[in-house]
Order: sequence, then C-alpha cells, then structure tokens
Amino acid sequence: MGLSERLADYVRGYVVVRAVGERLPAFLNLASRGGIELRQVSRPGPHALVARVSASQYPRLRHPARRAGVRVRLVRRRGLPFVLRRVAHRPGLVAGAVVALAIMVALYSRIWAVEVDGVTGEQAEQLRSTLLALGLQPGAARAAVDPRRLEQELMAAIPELAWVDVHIRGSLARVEARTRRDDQRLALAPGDVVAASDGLVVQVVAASGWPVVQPGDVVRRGQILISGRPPLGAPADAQPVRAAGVVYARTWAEGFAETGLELRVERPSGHRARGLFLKVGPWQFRLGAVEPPFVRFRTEIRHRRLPGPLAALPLRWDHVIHEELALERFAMDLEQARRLVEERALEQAASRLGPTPEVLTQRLWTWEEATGEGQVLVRSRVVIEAVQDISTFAPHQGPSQVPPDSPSGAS
Amino acid sequence: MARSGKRWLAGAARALDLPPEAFGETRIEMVGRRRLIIENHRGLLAFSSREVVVDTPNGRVAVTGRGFVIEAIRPDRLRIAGLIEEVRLGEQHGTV
Repeated sequence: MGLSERLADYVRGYVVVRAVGERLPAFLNLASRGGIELRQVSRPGPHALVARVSASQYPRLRHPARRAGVRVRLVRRRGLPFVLRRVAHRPGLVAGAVVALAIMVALYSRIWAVEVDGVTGEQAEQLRSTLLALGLQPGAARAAVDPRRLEQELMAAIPELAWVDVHIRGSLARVEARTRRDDQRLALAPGDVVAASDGLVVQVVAASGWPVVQPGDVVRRGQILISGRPPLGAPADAQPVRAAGVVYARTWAEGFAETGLELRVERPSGHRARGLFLKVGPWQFRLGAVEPPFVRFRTEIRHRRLPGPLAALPLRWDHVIHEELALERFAMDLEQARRLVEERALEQAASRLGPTPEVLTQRLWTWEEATGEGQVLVRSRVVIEAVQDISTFAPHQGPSQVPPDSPSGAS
Repeated sequence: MARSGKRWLAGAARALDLPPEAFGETRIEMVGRRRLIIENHRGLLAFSSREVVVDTPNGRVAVTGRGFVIEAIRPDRLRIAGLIEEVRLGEQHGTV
C-alpha cells in the first residue's frame, strides 16, 4: 500500500472491521459488487477476516453481511475525522494548539537577528547604524522589510558600497555588502600619473593628460609624470582629466638578507586544542579551549550553521582550532647558507620591482662575518637594474592646480 | 452476453488490434513475487493467508504462497499482496 493511499485513507477516515462466519469470500464478493471497497483484507483465523473500509461505507456492510451470514464488528476507528471529533470535545487542547500556533506565527513574523557580512570595522558600524535608521533591527516586522527597497536605500545612504544584498531567511536578516575597491571608486576621478618609484625616465607615452617629464629626467617616487590638470596656456574651458599613460624608467632595486648557520623552521607538532563559540541571536557563549594553550601556534576558525532550511535560525557556531607549532633547527654549512641568503636577497629585490621589469644588470655580493659570540653570519646584497613602467595613478586631492613648468600636452 | 457474442467480440478485438481486456478478457499482472493484480474477475472463491482462488471468465486462478492480504477488492479489479509461490490457471467455467 502506497504512501499516497495511506494518506488518503487517513484524511478520509476509515474503520477496521472484523468479520466472522463461514462464507467470508462470498461476503467480500457481495460487498464489492455493492460498491463497498474493502482494503487490506487479511485472515487472522480460519473463520475470520479483518479489513479496512471507509467510515462512510461502513453502515452499508450490514446488507452483504446478512446475505452471507457473516457477523461484522467494528474493531477501531482511524483517521483525521475521528481525531477531529475527539479533539472537538477537548476545548483546552484546541485552545493550546491555537495559542501555540499563534505564538509560532508571531515569532516567525519578526526579524530576530541581523547579520552583517562582507564589511568590517567602521564600515560595518556605519552599515549597522544605517540599517537601524532604516528600520531593520531585531524585533522588526518581517512584512515591513522590503529587501529590494532596503538595498536601494543603503546604496544611496552609503556611497562607498559597491553592492549590497539583503536576504531574509526565516527570522534572520542577512546583509552582505562590499565596498568599492579604490580603483573602482577612482575609475572616473580626475588625477595624475605619478612615479611609483625613483628612476631615470626613458620613455613617456601619454594617453590622456599632459606629460611633465621627458626622457633623461631623474624622478623621485610620488613625483607627477603626466598631469591631469590643464597647464598654463590651455584653453579656458579645459577641465581636469584623468591622466593615463606609461612612463618607462631605469630603476634600481636592492635586496638584502642574512642568516646564521642554523636554520629555524616552524612545523605543526600535531597537538591541537579546540574551542567553540556558540552564537544564539545576539548572545555568544564560549565552550572549550577558546584561548590557545600553546606558546607557538596558528589558529583557524570555521563558521558553521544548521543545514538546509534550519540555517535560517539565528544560530551559529564557530570552531576555533589552535595548532601547536614546534620550532625545528637545522644546521647548514657555509655553501647552503650562501645559497639561502642569495635567494632571499633576490626575492626581496624582485618584490621591489614592478610586475614586468626588463632586467638590465644584476649584481650580487655575498660575504661572511663573525659575530662577537663566535657565530658566523652570512650576508647577501643584490642590486638589480631594470627598465620598467613606473607610472601609477593618484587622484586629485584638493582644488585644481596648474603644475609648475608644465608644457602644453595632448589629452 | 451469449457465448457466440463474446466470441465475436473477442475476434473483432483481435482483428482491430484492440486490448482484449477491454472486451471482458481476464488480465493478470504480476509485479515481482509480491503483488498480483487480476482484472475482469468474477469474485473470490477461496481466500486464506496461503491461498487465493479467483473465478474469472477464463477459468479459475489459484494463487498459493504466504502472508496473503487482499489490498483492495472491487467488482472488476483485485489486488493481492504477499509472497507468491505459484499461480495456476484452472479449466474454464470450473467450480471450486
């Protein structure tokens, strides 16, 4: 018997009957020909059968029972109509169920927790206070919260937001936001192309703005290379622009590293301590080793929620896992130490260059020095000379000013 | 309906490629070894937890096995559940 049939039986209501007699097959035939559908017919004994019949058809069993000479007795009643009939005689139970349902509806119709994600610090505080001003706070009516309208109002109230998503799940309001990255915010802002590092200018290519340096000039970090402000002599209606272009320059990057003949490395020891933050709505509980019991350690925090639709509940737990780190020491010979410091010095120098430098020369010095405590230090210094694009954008901060000695440029 | 009429109908059904059960032929459907459905039956002749005998226009159908329950019985359709061990078709128009 399938689930749908059982459900239909339960909703319609049925009775279980027991028939006793000699001519039970005849009783079944007569009943079915009379339009009475008997179901789940079993034979508990040689002269008895048990069957289900719908509550409405039960009285009609008398006729086939009499014709077949069978006695039919009602064993039990099952199904929703009988449950409702019983409940109707217990007003207290009905009232309790109604009150419980009303409480559930009332609880479900309110926002009980507001979570802000994606922004931190002052921006998160600003977002929270704006949400409060717009009416989204614990206790607010769910029906009064229009997520799309709230998103629009948040975007209008906080210009720094790149996007915001307000999502209501059950009694939890989750607000996820991202602030504009600097390059997005400044995408259309006027400004200058300035030097990202010191260098000797080799080539200037201005896409917009007015170049203020030329090949052969020595420039310092932060110096304007292509101005976004109109120079003297520019047409009266010229406006500040967003300068753009590339400026290639010879640059020098230096790296330095040193080490003793002992290498220290931190590795996980295998010992772990776990703690738990249980967050229920606005309350937070600490369970277990939330504070690390180790001297050297690294910490990982994993956020968890209940699965599926239960995730809408304002319940979250954060697993805090502290992993102990053991300090291991390795002895090196001079050759190994030299290789190590040279690699580190080169890495450091390379990190001070731009993303695609054209390396012209690379000079490397490595030497050993004895310390006063009888130890040996191996040191390395590297200087890389490279041609690279040193341009970077800097927005205008104050009122438009004409840069000194600016030649008239093409925009 | 007279026997000749039934024969004519059965012949017409075959000629027109129509389902014979639509013209009163018995249809027996067995689903695994746990369920048997008989359409166009004439009634139960015997029923116990180990045997069900059904009268049909095509003769008796005797089903033996264990734990039989008649899931539903209607004038035209009978559904039996239980562990089916054997299904036998008896002679046409026989009695039990």
